[in-house]
Amino acid sequence: YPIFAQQGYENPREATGRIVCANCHLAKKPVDIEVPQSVLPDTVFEAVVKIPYDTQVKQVLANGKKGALNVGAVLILPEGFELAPSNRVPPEMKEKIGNLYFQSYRPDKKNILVVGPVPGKKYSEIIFPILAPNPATNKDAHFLKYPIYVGGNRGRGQIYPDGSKSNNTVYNASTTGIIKKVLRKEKGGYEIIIDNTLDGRQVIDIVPPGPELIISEGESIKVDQPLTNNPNVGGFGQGDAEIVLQDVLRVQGLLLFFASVILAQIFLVLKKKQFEKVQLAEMNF
Amino acid sequence: MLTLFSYFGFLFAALTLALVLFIGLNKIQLI
Repeated sequence: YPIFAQQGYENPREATGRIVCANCHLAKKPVDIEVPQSVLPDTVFEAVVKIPYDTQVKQVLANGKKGALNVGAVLILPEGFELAPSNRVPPEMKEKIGNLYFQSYRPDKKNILVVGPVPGKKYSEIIFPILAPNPATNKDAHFLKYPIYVGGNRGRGQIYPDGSKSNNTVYNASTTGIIKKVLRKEKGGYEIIIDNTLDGRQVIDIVPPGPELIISEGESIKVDQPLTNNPNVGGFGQGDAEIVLQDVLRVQGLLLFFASVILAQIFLVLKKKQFEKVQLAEMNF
Repeated sequence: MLTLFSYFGFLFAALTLALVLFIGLNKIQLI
């Protein structure tokens, strides 16, 4: 959940560039972002985050039952960019956005937006309405090329922030030995009693409801050998994009320059034509 | 799309301008 990251990390992007969601969502799945190549100051534009997955698949829920996947995303914008206020968002864009609620990562970090968890069936494509800063009023903003980082996740995580495993991951044997007994618990899940062959002690491994066993009684196993399958179908991905905060004057200047080049070229050709006429009249080639 | 439009727009504008100048300057015997 985004709230876990908000509680645990000041900045969702670590110094290595990794987005902190990856600390609990261990599986890797693709994510894609689309932003305009350049935006003008003080305009609203959309950043489209795509979190593709097969919407037919089900994931293991906390109670061991199967259910649909949720998605979530974090968008790390450059300093000065922020969520567009709803009175600035055009109605067509509002319709595309749907009922999503965007939250800033921290009250003082308006440039980092989080959304989710929301049903993945409806929101595997999340549209963020973003307001570009105006360097004329905001002295911290400049006309530059900026990076945008995005993280997108579908499905439940594998580890909780306290380090304990969720039931959406593989469970391994904690010792080498022989499986003496597999007890099925009332509420689902298993207790696996392993006889340690080295020192003769008994170890009980507990598997919560969710993952399915791939071992059976009497089997001999090694330490860290998986006892269950991996029920996880989701995963987290991150990506980046670049956006130019463009000055209108620069574009106009460039167009004027192009026009001047075109004019100069035409006049050079005309001058040559004129000179050819003079040559013809004087008849000295 | 905008790139494509502006490319052909500039091309067309330049060609028109060249044509007009050629014909016009030819008429008044400047070239």
